[in-house]
Amino acid sequence: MTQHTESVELGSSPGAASLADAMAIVLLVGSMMVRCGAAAFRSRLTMVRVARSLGVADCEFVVSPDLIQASLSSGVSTLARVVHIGEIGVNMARLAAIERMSRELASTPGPADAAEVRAQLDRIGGEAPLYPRWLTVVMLGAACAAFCGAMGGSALQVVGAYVGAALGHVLRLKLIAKHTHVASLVTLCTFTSSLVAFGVVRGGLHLAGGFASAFDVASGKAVLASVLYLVPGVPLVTSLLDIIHFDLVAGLARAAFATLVVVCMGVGMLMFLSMVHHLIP
Amino acid sequence: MMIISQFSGLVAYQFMLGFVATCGFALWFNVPREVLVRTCLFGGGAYVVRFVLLRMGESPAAAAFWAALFVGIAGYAQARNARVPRVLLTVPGVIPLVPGVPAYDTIVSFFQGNALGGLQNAVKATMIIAALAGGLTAARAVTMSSRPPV
Repeated sequence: MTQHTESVELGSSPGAASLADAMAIVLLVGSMMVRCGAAAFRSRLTMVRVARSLGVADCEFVVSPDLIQASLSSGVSTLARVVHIGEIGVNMARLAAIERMSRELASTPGPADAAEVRAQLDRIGGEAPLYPRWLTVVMLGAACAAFCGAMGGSALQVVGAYVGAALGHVLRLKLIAKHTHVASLVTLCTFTSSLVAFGVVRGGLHLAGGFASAFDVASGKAVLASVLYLVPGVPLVTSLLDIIHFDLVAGLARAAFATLVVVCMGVGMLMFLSMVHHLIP
Repeated sequence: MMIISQFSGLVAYQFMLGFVATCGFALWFNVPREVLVRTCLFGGGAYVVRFVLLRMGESPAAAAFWAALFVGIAGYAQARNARVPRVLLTVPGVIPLVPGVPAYDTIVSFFQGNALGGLQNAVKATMIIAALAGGLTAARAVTMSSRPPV
């Protein structure tokens, strides 16, 4: 008698997963991890822990920022799948929760209940952000103001950086909600933040009776600091982590993504500088 | 005495700037509450390390390397205590060290048609980014376990 590969049971206990259940769960774990900004090695280790806790005898995973390839074997049958990741972001609390769950599963003897694992993943995936959005606007503005202060910016420049970054981040939140492409998002936010920071500093100088050329203000500390909230720090760092763990494809793919973001910041800046240079005396 | 007091004031100011900058990124990255303060402290500490080394005459790249190494090793120790991935404690603390000024000067120089200045700034920015990467990698290399992780 032949048995369809996907329906192969991985244990005799009532909650034991089939090979297909296990595949669906580990792919969900992997894609959640990558979407949270986890490095490839960390996502793979977490998937291995979960697969073993579900009773999978042998498993192999290839993780990159855009897709995951998985192969699970029960000893008598093997199942392979590929899943595309989609949009990636950063969510450290979710990343930590999934990894903690995988460690707990790995330290529990006996095969885990598939339905229970899926319910835990659903709960983790449904958790709201820990901090309200308005607080991230306030604090990212403060972060960019701190950058400006560290560069030796004046009080007016610090205020310009704060307002530019905060409004740019508000725009980023709106564009993320509309699933705007990352290239357009970064370019638009860079342009907006620069323009707002420029406007605040130029307006402040005008009110105070000071004088500075539009280009001097545009190439000043406030404008620079106001866009630093867009720096792709997580992809840059995880790209390095991937490379030192010999996940070269994942590392290079992430580095390419980070480069795209930096280039888009440059394009937004050039648009802004060009506008100031030609339109404002 | 006066000089020491002024210097400690500057150190405290740099710490506060690094703390606030890291806190902004940590909140946006949804860093769990139990490690939030530690993450911000490492960011503040990294700014102090960089500031002191720059004051001692180190190059910006060398100062960035040691600051990133500090964040990497401190993050490792605390991540083990809190049983969370190290990346939670290191990434928000390193982002404020990213060389914004040389990167921006690169764009401005190229925009003004100053290709040589643009290249000089680009090399400066790349050196600092490479130093940050080197510091984090060195921290990971010295703390990496040879035991199988699963």
